[in-house]
Parts: sequence; C-alpha cells; structure tokens
Amino acid sequence: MIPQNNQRDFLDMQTLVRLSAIPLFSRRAMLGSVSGMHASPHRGSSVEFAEYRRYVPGDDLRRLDWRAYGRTDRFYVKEFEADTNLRCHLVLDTSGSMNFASGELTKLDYARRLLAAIAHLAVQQGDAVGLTSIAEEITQTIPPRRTPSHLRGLYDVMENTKAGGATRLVDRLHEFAETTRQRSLVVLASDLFVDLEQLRSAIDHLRFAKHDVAIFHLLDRQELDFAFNRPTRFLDMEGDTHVFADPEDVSQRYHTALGNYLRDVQDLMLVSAVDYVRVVTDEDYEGVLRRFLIGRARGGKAPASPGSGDSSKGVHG
Amino acid sequence: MSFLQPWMLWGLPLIALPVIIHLINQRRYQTVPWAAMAFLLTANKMSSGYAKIRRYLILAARTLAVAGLVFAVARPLSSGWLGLAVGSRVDTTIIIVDRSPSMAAAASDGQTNLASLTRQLMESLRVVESNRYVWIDDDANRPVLLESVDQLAALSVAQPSAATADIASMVETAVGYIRDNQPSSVECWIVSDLQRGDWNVASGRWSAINQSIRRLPQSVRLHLVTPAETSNLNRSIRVTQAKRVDGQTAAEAARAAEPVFASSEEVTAEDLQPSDPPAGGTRLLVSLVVRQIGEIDETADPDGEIPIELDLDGARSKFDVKLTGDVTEIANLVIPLDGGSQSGWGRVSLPADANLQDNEFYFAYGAPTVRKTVVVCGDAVDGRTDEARPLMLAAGIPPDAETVCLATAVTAEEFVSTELNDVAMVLWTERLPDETETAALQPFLERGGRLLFFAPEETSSRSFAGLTWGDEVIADQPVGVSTWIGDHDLLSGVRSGAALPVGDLKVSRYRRLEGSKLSLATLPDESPLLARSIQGGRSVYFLATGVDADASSLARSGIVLYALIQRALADGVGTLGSTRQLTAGETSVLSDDWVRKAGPDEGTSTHFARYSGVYGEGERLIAVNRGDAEDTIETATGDQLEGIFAGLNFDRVQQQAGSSASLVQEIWRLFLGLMMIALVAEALLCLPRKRAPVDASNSPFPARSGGGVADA
Repeated sequence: MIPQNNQRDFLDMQTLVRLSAIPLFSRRAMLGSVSGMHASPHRGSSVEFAEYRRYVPGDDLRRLDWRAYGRTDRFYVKEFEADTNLRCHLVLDTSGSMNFASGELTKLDYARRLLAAIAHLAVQQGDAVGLTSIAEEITQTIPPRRTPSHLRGLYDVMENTKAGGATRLVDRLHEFAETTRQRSLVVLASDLFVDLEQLRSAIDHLRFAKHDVAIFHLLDRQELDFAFNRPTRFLDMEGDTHVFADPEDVSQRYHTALGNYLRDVQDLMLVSAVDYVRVVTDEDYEGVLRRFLIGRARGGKAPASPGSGDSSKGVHG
Repeated sequence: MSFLQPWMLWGLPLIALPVIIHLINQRRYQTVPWAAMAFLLTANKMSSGYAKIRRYLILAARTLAVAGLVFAVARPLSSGWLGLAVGSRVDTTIIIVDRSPSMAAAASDGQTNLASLTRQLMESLRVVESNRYVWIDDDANRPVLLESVDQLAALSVAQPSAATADIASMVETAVGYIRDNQPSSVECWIVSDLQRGDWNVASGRWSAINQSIRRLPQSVRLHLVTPAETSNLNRSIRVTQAKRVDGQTAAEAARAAEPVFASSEEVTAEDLQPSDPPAGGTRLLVSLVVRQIGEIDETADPDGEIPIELDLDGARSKFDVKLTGDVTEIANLVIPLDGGSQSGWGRVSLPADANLQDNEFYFAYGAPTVRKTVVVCGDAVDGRTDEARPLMLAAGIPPDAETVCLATAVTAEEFVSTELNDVAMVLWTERLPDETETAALQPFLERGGRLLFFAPEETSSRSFAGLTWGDEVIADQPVGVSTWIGDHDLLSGVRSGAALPVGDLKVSRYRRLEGSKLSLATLPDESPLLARSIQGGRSVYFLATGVDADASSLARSGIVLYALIQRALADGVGTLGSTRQLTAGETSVLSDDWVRKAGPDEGTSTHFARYSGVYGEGERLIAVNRGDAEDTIETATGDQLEGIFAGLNFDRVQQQAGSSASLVQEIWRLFLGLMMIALVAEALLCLPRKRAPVDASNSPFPARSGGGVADA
C-alpha cells in the first residue's frame, strides 16, 4: 500500500506497519462519498439492521419483512445502516513557535510524524485525507483524497513546510470551519499558544459544523521544565519581543502561569468534547498514536441520528 | 579592633568578589529562542519583590562570608589597645612591672595583682610575638635581656618588694635602652596599680620622659595594664615610733606610757588600750597606726576589734585593738624590756587580708641617740651664736620629752677640726665650704648626716654639690612662697594630713641659686627658696634666705623652720646609733654585708634595702619597711595619665574583675563562626523552592471517555 518511493524522515515503515492493525475511527457519523467503515447518518445497504419502516409503494419488495407482516398484519421494510468513508483533515500549525526544540525534534517535526502516520492509516483504510497548514495565513490546503498518489503529494507538502511567522490559529480555524462543509475528522497538531477563549469559539465552530475534532497539543520538555541555570535572554520565535530574565527569579512564576494554562486547556477540551492528546515531544510518537487510535476504537462509532437523509450509496471496496 | 596579621586586611577588597561575579554572571547571559513567551511575560508581570530581596540577601551572605574569612585570617584581637600594627612581629618588647607592696593586693582570681597581671601579661606576650624581650629590673634599675617571655616566671618579677616603685625612673631606663640599641619597633608594657607614690605624676621628670620618647626615631607604643578595681577590705599597720626608755620615774613613765588613741573620728576614753606601766624599769614605747580601706565585714569583726601580733626579738604576744574609723593610732604602747637589752628588733602584724604586704611592720630599737647639730656661723663663740640663734633653738628643742637635742655653734675654721661622728646635722650659714671644709664634710655626708646651707651674707664663687649662690635679691615688698612640694621631703604635711604653713612665709631678702637642683619651694620669680642637690649620693639642702628678721619670717613664725630642721635632724640621726629605720627603696646604702635577722626570704643581699625585714650590719640593726605612700589608696587619675602620655601612642588595659583570661584574646573563631553562619544562610537562600512539576501527563481528569482528554 505504501508507495515504494515514499521514504521520508518523518515516516517510519515499521511503525506504520504496527499501527496499521488499529483502525482509525471517527467518533461521529461521517458523510462520505463511498462506502467505508465509518457510520453514516443516512440509511444504506450494509448488513447492520437499523430499524423498521412502513412499506410505501415503490420500495424494494425484497426488503419486506414477512415475519413482521405475520405478526402485525402490516407491511414493513427493514432499514440497514449505511457505511461510508472518512474525510480526514489534517491541520498543521506552522507558526514560528512550532520550530522550538530542546532535543532532536522540533514540535513541527513531531507534528509531521503524527499527521503523516494518521494520513497513511486513513488512506490505507480507504479514507480520504487532506492537509491544511496554518500560520498567519492558511499557507497550504490539500483537499481530501483517497489515492496513494495524493498521499505522496501530501507528504511532499509536509516535508517542505517550514515553520515561521506569528500564530493566527484561531482565525484560520474559523476560516477552515467556514470553508469545509462536509463532516470531517479534523486532526489539529499545534502547541496551542493562543487565547483559550478564542480557541473555544473556533472549536465550537468546528463542532457546529459537525466535525469530529481531535487535537494533539505539542509541548517541548524545556517549555515544561524551564530548566535554565543562568540569566537568559529569551527571543520570541514569533516576533521581535525579547525578555531578559534570571531563571532563579521567574521560574516559580513561570511554572505557575504554565500550570494554570494547561489546566484551562484541559477544562476547555473536556467541555468542548475534543479528543485531546497532550504530547511532550520527547515521547515516542508511536505510543502516542497507539493510545489515540485505541481510544478511538474503544469509543465506537457514533450512532446514526434519526430523520437523517438518504443513505449514501457507498462504493464497497 | 586590632589584628595580629593586619596585612591580611589588604584582602578586604575581596568582599566585592561575590558582587563582581554576580554582575559578570548577569552579563554572561545566553540567548535562547523561546516559543512559550506568553508565560514568561506573565511571570515578569507578577510581583518580584521577594526575588529581589532574596537576591540581595544571597549577595550579602556571600559578602559577609568572604569578609568573615578575611578577618579570621587576619587574627583579630578582642581589645583595641594594640592598635593596627604595621608588620606582624614586634622587634623589642620592654616589660616594666610595679612590684611595690600595693601590688600584693589580692586579685579576683585569688592571686595577687602582681602575680595575676604578670601571668596574663606573659600569656599575652606569647601571642604577640617579639624578637626581643627586655625586663627593667627595678631592684637595680637596669634592663635585663630575656631569652623568652617565659623567663619572667623564673625571675623575681612576680615577687613583691617593699620598695615603692619608681615608674618614671624605670621608663627612663627603658628609653635609654631604646636609644642605645635602636630597635625598629618597640612595645613597652607597664604593669602597675597606678598608686600615686609609685608614679609621682606631678614630677617634672614625666615631661622630660615624654619629650625624649617623642624624639625617638622608632615607633614606641606604651601599654599600661592595671588591675581590676576591688573593694576588698585591706588593713595596714605601721610603727611610727619604737623608743627604748629606761630609768624614768613612775610619773614620767605613767605620763609617757599613757596610751592615746587617735583616729580620724572622735574617740572616747573607753577606747583606751589598758596598760599598767611599771614604775621604773626598761620599757619599749611603740606607737602604731592601723589603717583600713574597703568594705568592712561586720560578721567577721563584730566588735570592731582585731588582734595584733607582736614579735619582739623572737618572743610573740598578742593584743586586741579596737578600730575606730579608717585610721587608728596607738601611741606609746608600753612593752616591758629586759633591763640588759640595749637594742633589739620587733615586728607587728595583722591578720591576713586583701594585701599581705602591708600587714606587718618591722622596727628596731636601741638606746636613745642624742641629736647633735653643728651650726656653722661667723659669730660662733664657745658654741654659741647670736646671728644663728633661731637655728640653735630649732635644732636644740626636742620634739618630745624623751628626745635629747644638742646644738653647738662653730666657725667655718673651727668646723674642720670638729668631731662629726656623732653629729646628725650641720647647718651652714657661711659662704660655701672650701676644699678643706668640703673634705671634712664628705665622710659626714657619706655616713648619712644631713647638711643644710643657708644663704650667706657674702657673695662667693664657691660651689658645692653643683650649686653656687648667686646674686642677692632684696624685694621691695616681702614675697610669699608660690609653690612647694608638700607630699614628701622636708616640707611635707604633718601626720594628720595638714600642710605646713609654708604659704604664710614672707621673704624680704634671698639669694639666687645657680646650678642643677630640685626646687622644693619656689618664690614668685621662679627662684628656689628651698632646693635639694646631690653630693656623693647624699641629699644636700639649700635655703635661699636667712633666718634674720630682715631676711625672712622663718624665725618669727617658727613652725616651718622648726619642722624642716627637726625633720632633717631626724633623718640625720637615723644614721647614728645602734639602730636604723629605713624606707625600702629610698636609700642607696650598700647592703652587701647585711645579714637578715627577720623577714621573708626575698631579694638578694645586694638589694636587701628594698625588701622588708630586720638586717644586721655589724652591731647595728636596720629595719627596712615599705614607705608611707604604700598605705594609701590614692592613685593617678586618668586625666593625669593622659597628661603625662600626651602625644604618645598609649593605651590602657584594665583587667576585668573575675577574669583570668589573657589580656590578649584572639577572636578569629568568632569570625569563622560568622562566616559559617553566612554560608549556611546563603545555602538556605539558594535552595530551589519546591514547586509541583508541571507534568504534561498529570491530568486531574479520568482517562478519555469517548470525548474527553486523552493521555499522551
């Protein structure tokens, strides 16, 4: 499945093989173009019984349930769940702060690994995957496709993406929510150094558009520990601001502010029902993804909502 | 504060090292690109007051630690009287120790002040090292080079003598040593209780000493070590008269033997010591003075009586004396003597108290000596004179009924052939002696006789004892005496403390006196009225006026003339007879052939005259005792000390009461402790404050439940 000439530094074949055993599920019903493994809000021709419906002229007589007629003296037809494919939108924060690294990998490199693996899994199971890079503007947009060649192009874009500029994540998420009408799994990889109230509104916007939102919150170990032992001049990676501070003096207050922020993020994600994964970039990304996928698999498919539209005619394949 | 190694204080600028390191550290910052800038900015906005205070406290603790180390290494001393020494080692240390009887007073540590201060001085000198130690031997008044400070213990430094210390003389000796040996730096230590008799601060010698020290090219530091003040009770006893009497009538004996108690307070007849003088027979009449100073323990002596032990030629007896007031006098205590004893010795002693040195007094008694005076005058005929009649009367009238005084007048020519072996005093009213007359006077002076010159009518160029009579001065108006020495010598006050009426004298005619002399009385124009010089080691007196009525009021008032003549006569008669009473240290008599009869085993034979006791010189008995000044507590005041040491590098250390510690105490341990405290404080301040680590995986929420937070 994996194209032979797709050897990238953010792609580890062994890891992808191991992760391939775990399907990527959506927590909400998706509206795909073809038949897939994800629940559709519509009724379709899958093998999973959904409900009975009164017969109306024009229905396929083969779907009449004679036992129900025998019991009720009325004609009912069986409705079955429709399975459709997933649209997965990968949103990559490419602001300047994503370029920070205290170890080998920058947050952008780590995000690339996460999103590239998710993209591979999605395409492998027949789902469509797209990519949107966000910094001050939406720098790159690749619409979701299911083909391996599309995946190759997506990897190319990931590989060539450079971090820089200020973060306007919230505005760009609003923009993305406005422009992406079809239900999707939106996977955001960012350090979320934004105003949380504004982020809440962006997430709510995405949820209103019936997107399944998953956020990988990337943090560097140095950002958490703030382990400096001598006076340091901190240069803002997204602007011209600089702060000269003695870590002995500001360490306590920095950790207080950071702790409050992380707690607020957790609260926000819980309230917003976001699939929130906090990642420290010195962790093994395979484990992170494994837990993410398993957690989604345990959560099951989202139930089909009543009165939904015609079932989609997915392509089984 | 003082330091043994003050040059280490050049390291004090190192206390700026922590500050410099801090500033350099501030400059040596690293530049780090940072993503989570928002939190840094928030942290900076928060209050940083505590952080600043903590930073300053850390700097202060480090600075104090460095300062403590520098001070500790510089070996600070607890007392500041050494001053900031330049150089860590003294070249020469001169030690002057006052060994007068007053220094035998008990110190707070049970030892005498002399022993206690000497020990503390030795301990201190071991700390303050010196290349050379010199002790001024007060017995011989010469410098003694010591091998080490510990040698002081082997010498008689800590043994008190009976002689009054002449501190001025010892300091002069020290100055002479410095001048002769030219050490680079000198520390001069003086151990004394500042008793006035030892210091004689009014003497003009101190001014000369001060000047001579100032002229010395090297640095000289003077340290005065004094004992702690105490109020311990101290009593002293002194025999003012020991007179052998025999063959008197019962009435004369009763009258002479009637003991009279006199004290500084009113005393009634009931306080009399009962004594029943026998009719006739040989008796010893002893007059005593008992002084007491300090707090009296009522429980120890509830009746106010103390026992006095009398040792007479080895026979001991005791009698009680009721003390009244600070001074109690017992006059003419009658002690029966064996009729065959012509002379002998005795000792009176008190119970032990704060000072053992003044608790006993030795006396020698013998057959009464006739006090013979020779008056040399121009009109002497058959031993009589009209011009010098006042002198004949003053010398011939005895002070008491038991004393016999004889005065005879001779001319200068007759004087050469006059027998002087039994003459106590010579009063010379003529021009100064020529060579023949001087030769005749010499053995008399060597024997200890007293010589007193009166201003002659004729001018002469002759000199005697380095002095020459100058021009005669006839005052328009009689002039009075402007100053005189009233605490010792011929014009001193009487026993009760009252002064002689020297100020009432009027002088109309006098002669100037040329030469080096010691003025005992001075006229308004600075001319001496009474002066003393030295001839052959003996004192010779010069009175610059005459006894004529037109010369002065000496004869008219009589008291001053009589007192000074009788005192000179008493001094002179002391060299006659079979016994002598000497004041320790005030005589330059050779004692090589003396044999100790009684008294503590102190001193060498060459210096017996400085130690109390009874000595035999051939057939003569000599009693040596401490001087009158040792029984008083008058000390030199701080202002007087400041005056005599004005302009000199001088400091004073007073022993702490109850302290037996060294005078010099190193306190480097204190600074080392302060340094440790500062380091501990700095360590505590530098400890990182405990903070809950911000763990990204530490979520207060349960594991993801299909829509919540996922643990990474």
